[in-house]
Amino acid sequence: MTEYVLKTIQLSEHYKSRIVLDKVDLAVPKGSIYGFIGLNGAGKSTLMRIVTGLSFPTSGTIELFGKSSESEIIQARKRMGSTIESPGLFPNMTAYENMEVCRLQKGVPGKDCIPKTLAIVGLQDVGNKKTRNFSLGMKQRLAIAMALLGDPEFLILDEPTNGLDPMGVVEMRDLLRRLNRELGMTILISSHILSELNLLATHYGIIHRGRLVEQLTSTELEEKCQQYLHIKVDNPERASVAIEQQLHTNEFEVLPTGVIKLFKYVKEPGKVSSVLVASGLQIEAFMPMGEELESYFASRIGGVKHE
Amino acid sequence: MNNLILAEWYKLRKNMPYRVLCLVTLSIGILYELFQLRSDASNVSSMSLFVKALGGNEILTKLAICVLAAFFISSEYANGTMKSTASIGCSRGRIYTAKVIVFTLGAALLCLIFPLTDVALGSLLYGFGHLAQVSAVEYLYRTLGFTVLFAAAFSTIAALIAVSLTDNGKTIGVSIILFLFIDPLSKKLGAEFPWYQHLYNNCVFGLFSVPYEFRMSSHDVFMCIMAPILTFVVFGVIGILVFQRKEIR
Repeated sequence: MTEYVLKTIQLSEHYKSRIVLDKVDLAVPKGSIYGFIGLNGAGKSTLMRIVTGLSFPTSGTIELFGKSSESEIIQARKRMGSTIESPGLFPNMTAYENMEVCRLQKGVPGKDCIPKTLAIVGLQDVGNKKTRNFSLGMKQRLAIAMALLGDPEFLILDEPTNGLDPMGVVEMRDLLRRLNRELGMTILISSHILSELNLLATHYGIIHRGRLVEQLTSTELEEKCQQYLHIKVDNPERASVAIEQQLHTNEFEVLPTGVIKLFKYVKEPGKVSSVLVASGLQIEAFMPMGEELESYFASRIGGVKHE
Repeated sequence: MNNLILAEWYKLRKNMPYRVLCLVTLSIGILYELFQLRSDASNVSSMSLFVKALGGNEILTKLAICVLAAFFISSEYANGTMKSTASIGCSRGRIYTAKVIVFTLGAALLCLIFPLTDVALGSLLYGFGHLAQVSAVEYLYRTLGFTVLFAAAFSTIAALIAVSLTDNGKTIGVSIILFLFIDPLSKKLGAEFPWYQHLYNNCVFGLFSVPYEFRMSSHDVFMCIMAPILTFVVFGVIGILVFQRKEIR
């Protein structure tokens, strides 16, 4: 049976008459990297804020590490690290001092953990520079380092790659993957850079206008974002017959535009083109294609029609 | 709870506005003594200057608490650190209590800097001296003790304003208006409504200058102990209730 680190049950949040979260049933399995996808204002941060105790739901409940009473959830938050929205730092303190405040609050024994954690996020050499002079990327890294203090079992990161340079994004991805694989840390991460999530997440949740539209695993997503050969020929009917009879497959579809989407032989395009040419067909377009997370996401929220 | 208090204490020690306030108060204390030296040094003692300085300390105490509330409590909303604190895995009640304890302690220390500088520097320059009406040492301990007690009471009021408004500027503005204008306003209202006059006379604002009198009746002593303690408890509890329901943005 799957163990869940976080479950929300019919979680709703209303601001006056505006529905920000609408009966959200989200489940984050233990050991997963859960990519939380949604447009700005879809409700991602609101949900994360409720889980971290910064906001209160209008209705519904949350279950954190299997605990659902208020006092138990507060205790369970000790096993969690988070960075929500902008990094919360004391501008007149150095990175070390900010970490020290966090260490004291969490009750982490010994100061050795501070330089170690700073090194993990690449901030070991910032010295006595005050955080008000940090770039957004450095602030983001420091916020993540603070979230990592005390070795949490569950990490909640709201848009953690905001402000990071391309190398920083790669390093962050590697770090999160390492934390997940080596320490078994469960990670709930929201990002608007879907290609980033695509390389990282094992599970996805798509939220739109406060409603959780879909939850799926990366395997399920891969199946849905199937690769295919995009073929345009002068006679689609003859091409269909040729594919059926000579390639022995019916895993294709002919679109009203005459384009054929062939889901087999994606890795053997030469074989397909040979059959089509041998059948006397004139090839106008021939290329491997596949739906990316972006287009799948757009289709789920109604931005682009999913064929 | 200990972790939270330690963290708050660390924050206070590293808080730049707090350091500046301490330095400014210390400088005012030193300058006050040096001005006395210039004007007339023949007839003064440390204690006579201390008695004069207490009037100024009343305003200084209130101003310092207002500024500290803004920069120690409200600013945590502005820089987002309140989010980290609130999601740490401790109840909001504990978080607020730890914050108010350290804030009160910081405010009390701040309020002692000016009078203690006066006494210390005055003693060096003019000698400790004595007071005709009351034992100088007893008066010193009493006024300093009550200053701490009233500073604690004012701190919980300022802390409540700070967590409610969550903005430095608003906190400074509202708390200064409240702390500085409540006395003249209350005198006018008290003249119109006797019940209000009675209420004001028995609250921390009305009682603040009573311990600075040379003679205090046992009723005065009782009221000057009970009023700040009750204010501390009542405003502390209200502060916890407000903070528990507060969305942290």
